Amino acid sequence: MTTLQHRRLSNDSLNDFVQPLDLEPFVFSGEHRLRIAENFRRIPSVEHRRLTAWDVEVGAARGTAFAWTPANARRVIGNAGLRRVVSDRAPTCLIGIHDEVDELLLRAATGYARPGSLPHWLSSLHHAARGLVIAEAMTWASVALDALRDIAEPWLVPETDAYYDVAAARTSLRGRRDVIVASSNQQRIVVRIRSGLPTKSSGTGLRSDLAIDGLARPDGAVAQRIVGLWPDAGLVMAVDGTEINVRAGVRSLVRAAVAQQRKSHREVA
Amino acid sequence: MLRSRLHDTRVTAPRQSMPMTMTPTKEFPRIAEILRGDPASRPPSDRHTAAGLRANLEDALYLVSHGRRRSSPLLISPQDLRATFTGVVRQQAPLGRLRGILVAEILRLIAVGFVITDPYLDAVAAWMSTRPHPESKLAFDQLEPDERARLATDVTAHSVVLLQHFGHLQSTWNPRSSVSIIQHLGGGDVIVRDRIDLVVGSSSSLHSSVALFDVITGPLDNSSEAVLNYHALLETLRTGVVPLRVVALSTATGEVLRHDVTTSLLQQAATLVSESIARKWSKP
Repeated sequence: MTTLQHRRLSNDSLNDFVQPLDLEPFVFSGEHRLRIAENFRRIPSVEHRRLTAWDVEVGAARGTAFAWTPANARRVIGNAGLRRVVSDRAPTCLIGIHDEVDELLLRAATGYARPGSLPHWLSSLHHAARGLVIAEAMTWASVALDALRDIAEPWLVPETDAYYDVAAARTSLRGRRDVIVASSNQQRIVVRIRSGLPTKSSGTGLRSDLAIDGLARPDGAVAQRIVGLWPDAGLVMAVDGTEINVRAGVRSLVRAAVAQQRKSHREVA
Repeated sequence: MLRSRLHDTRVTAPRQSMPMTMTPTKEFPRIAEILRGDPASRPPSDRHTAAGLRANLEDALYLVSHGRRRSSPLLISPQDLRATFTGVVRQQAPLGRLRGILVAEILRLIAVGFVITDPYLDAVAAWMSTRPHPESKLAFDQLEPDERARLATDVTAHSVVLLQHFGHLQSTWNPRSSVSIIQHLGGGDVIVRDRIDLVVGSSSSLHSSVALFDVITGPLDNSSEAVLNYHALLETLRTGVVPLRVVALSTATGEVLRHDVTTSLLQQAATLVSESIARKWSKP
């Protein structure tokens, strides 16, 4: 049976959730990877398929095509600003965010940004809209820092999300992760920060992120736990890295691929 | 002839005017200073009151619902609290609503140290980048040229008041703007929502340091105070820590409302929320 723990967000509850567990984490073997690839190959797709925990949570109800806004750019820029603070490259989040925006703009100015990318979009903005991007990123980073400040274990903000390309199945999986709490290589806890309220499918989404995070590692070792943080609602949820939870996460991703395929068939018909 | 010409062009008769002394207006109280206050006088963080407040709200909800569940959740927002004072949920005129939206964007920009060059143009550019709500966007697009000019003048005037009063916010206070709060009550039967214009300080510090700020483009009244208390209540429920103070600035009058958050203030807000729930619950 899958497990999901649920508590109100406080420094104590978050600290409890990120304590190293006496749990041998599940490890994806080569055979597991082959079976996962077979499952995805059975679901044909004309285009390259990209799946995230969000697809799992909303099923086939995904809305309009992605376009950058200050609200959806805040996570990338806010996390980058936070990373600079954690690694002592910036004294405050705001300075870290300004440095990050400057770096992105430099990338666009020197021609290293493709159309549609974040640097390209940022460079096309009115300076006041860019100010709003900074305000959004600052809010994201400050809320995260306020929640994570008192974590007793060492933590870091990863450079990228977890990506796994399923062999010969035209499918990429993306697992979002905002913070990694790691007292050692084997004792790793992934933290995700989310907006709004958790829904009934949020636990399923966390399991999918947990599975993708394990698949993206060469050794296939799944994190001991994934913690979902909803600062707007003041709630924390956690899923342990047990075999049952990881299998449920992979199954949800396969189901999301099926739902996407059915939706595209309906649209064509 | 000369005398009559002088009388035609001068308001005050010759030799009737007296020397005048002009005194500069008093220095405005700076919002940034009010939010920060005196760090030495901050009380220890209160991490115990939140649980009691939540229990009170849940008890009040049970008295209304008698354990019956709803098919769709009941939504409570600051507008419902305002209705307690005005008797009706007031719909703001489109121009007033747009003015409020644009001045809030200016606050977000100055909170992160952005230098405003043209308040109206900067606010519109920032707002447009957010993919605004279709209803508000339509209202903006349908403005007649003279209405748009009036909006630009209004936004500029209110922004000037805001800029004069705001002061400089240190980046170490971690300013969070347009902070959304959503709380479930009664197992999800009631959803209490809020959006605070600006929050500074940390809820993880040993001493209370979180200050909440709202910018209001109308005059301050009883409902403004109730909404400030509501902000304090929801921030307490969200973080489990009682904030230090709540502050509001009216950019229409330049008045500043400031309250240090106490248990009785939070209890008042909880009572108002309970009354709003009771009022809305009985409606079909």
